[in-house]
Amino acid sequence: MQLEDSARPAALDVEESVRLDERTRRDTMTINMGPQHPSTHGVLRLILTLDGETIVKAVPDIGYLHTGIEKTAEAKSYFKALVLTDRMDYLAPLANNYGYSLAVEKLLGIDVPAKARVARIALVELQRIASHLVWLGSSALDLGAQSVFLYCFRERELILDIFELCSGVRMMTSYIMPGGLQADLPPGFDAKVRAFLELFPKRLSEYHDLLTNNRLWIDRTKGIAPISAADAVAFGCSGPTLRGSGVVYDVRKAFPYGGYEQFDFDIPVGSNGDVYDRYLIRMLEMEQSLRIIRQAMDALPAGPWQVADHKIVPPPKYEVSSNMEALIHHFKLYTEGYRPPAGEVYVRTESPKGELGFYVVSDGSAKPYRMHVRAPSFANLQALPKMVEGMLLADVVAAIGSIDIVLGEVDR
Amino acid sequence: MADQTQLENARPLATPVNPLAEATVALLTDRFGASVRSVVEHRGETTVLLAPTALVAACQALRDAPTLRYSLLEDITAVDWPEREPRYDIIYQLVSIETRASIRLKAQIGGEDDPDPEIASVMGVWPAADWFELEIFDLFGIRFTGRDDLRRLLMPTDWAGHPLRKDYPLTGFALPDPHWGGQTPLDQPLPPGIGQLTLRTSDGSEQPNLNRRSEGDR
Repeated sequence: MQLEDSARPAALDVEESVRLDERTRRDTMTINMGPQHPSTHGVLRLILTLDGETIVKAVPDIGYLHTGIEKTAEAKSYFKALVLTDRMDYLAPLANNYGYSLAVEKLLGIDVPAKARVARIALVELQRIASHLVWLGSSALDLGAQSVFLYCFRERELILDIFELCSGVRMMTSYIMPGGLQADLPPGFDAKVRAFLELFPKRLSEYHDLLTNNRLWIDRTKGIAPISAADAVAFGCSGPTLRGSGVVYDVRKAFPYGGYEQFDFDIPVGSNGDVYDRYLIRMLEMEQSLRIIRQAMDALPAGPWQVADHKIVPPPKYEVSSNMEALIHHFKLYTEGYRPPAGEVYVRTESPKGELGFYVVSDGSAKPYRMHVRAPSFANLQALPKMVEGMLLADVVAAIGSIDIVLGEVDR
Repeated sequence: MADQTQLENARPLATPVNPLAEATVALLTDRFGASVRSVVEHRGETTVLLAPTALVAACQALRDAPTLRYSLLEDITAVDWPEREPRYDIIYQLVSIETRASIRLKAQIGGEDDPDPEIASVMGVWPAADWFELEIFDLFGIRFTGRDDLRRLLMPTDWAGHPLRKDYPLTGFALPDPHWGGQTPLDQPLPPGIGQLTLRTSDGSEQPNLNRRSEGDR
């Protein structure tokens, strides 16, 4: 069966999309960058119009990693749709789990126990550091600094070890779930996180030594791909990409969620909006994340890590074989799921990339009627042409690295 | 073992404070009184349902109001309600960086006699609307007027149909239904139409691919 389509649009025509006036067309050349280019951080295709080495026009073409996550979520129960969120920003799966869980909890109208609240913040801040480490390593690699890449991945592995200890997997953890955490924090979690807190500041200062005052790094990043504050806001940028231009906007401070208002931390803000400022902001954000994690570890209370309602979280496995009620709960949760009251919520969180929003509509059934993800990389990538037009071809690589896109969440 | 403390009930969620939502609603009813269809509050979030014709002017007014200054367009998305008339919700999520106000605007369009609905673009108010509108065009087939370059953003340019519409099946149209064909034993040929891939060519035509299993490829 083939769907009738009355409104089939014209194919994306390279010539059409880079239509220029006759004067410039004579000297320009249109080339593809990607979708298999290593420095596009995934499958991003850029259609670049060049005058010599200068970018006249840049048109991002996305969708190569479109996996229909929003459509798939409509066919899953709220409980099962969680695992889809891991795969959007695959460098910060816990941040996605967190945003989704907060949205579902808001639909249900529940709050989680104190231990889960504090532990989640510690975990997503660890995730922020892990995500920034991948960004730092890969964007430095793009500009030719190879050793940074290896060091960053060495430290990231320490964080992934912590996640593995908690959940059994390194990356697609689904550890934060609606109703709390999948399992209690394991023995040894505290020691491992504290060991990391002890080690990481030294390592962070090593990265600063390698790059921050490095003449080569400054030449490649300072004044490159700038965007003004007004433009960054107008294009819907968020996260370090927005703050690099001097806009003080961090969802954790502007609209505190999940208990962030109880933590003491600062928001690094740049002034020039160039690659170097965005670099420095993420470096400073890692320090602030360490502060938050330290406070969270000190404040981590004992007690339950999930809500007690086994209509929302599965009952303990040992009860399923001995308790009739637990067996019913287990069966109902896995086969049918829970039914939040009809309504719609939009929950915004500050993911490592920027503002991650979950818009979830419930029609009172056990499946989300609609789940839309406002992906930070999606909006930030829109501003890329504004940043790179007039710059050199080599600066495109620096610009893409500096906005820290993950195509998994751009395309969803 | 689960101790008794684990079984305490979840606290109800505190309703977040949204002090500027009232001011926003007041401004909209004052300036666009006839176009404000309803105001709904759910879980501390305020949704204003506007007539589609007033949408762009309302967005402009909210962006420029000195006490509100909705400078950041966070998100635009759509929801398909096929049994309802009008059929589609278009949802605008606005936030102010300066005043910390937030609001959700909603417009309803489409229906039986309007299968390819249109709504005015807000790209003139916030350039950020660009890709969000293209995504809605691509996945819902809603056309945005007053802007150029309306093209598919995520799906291939020669794709037919709009996947996020509720009448678009999860498995897609190009594959037989169900595309896994049930459980056919390995030594038996697949039922007709099952396991066949359809190749889409660049000129928009379709070529059936060969059924590999029926060629004896086991």
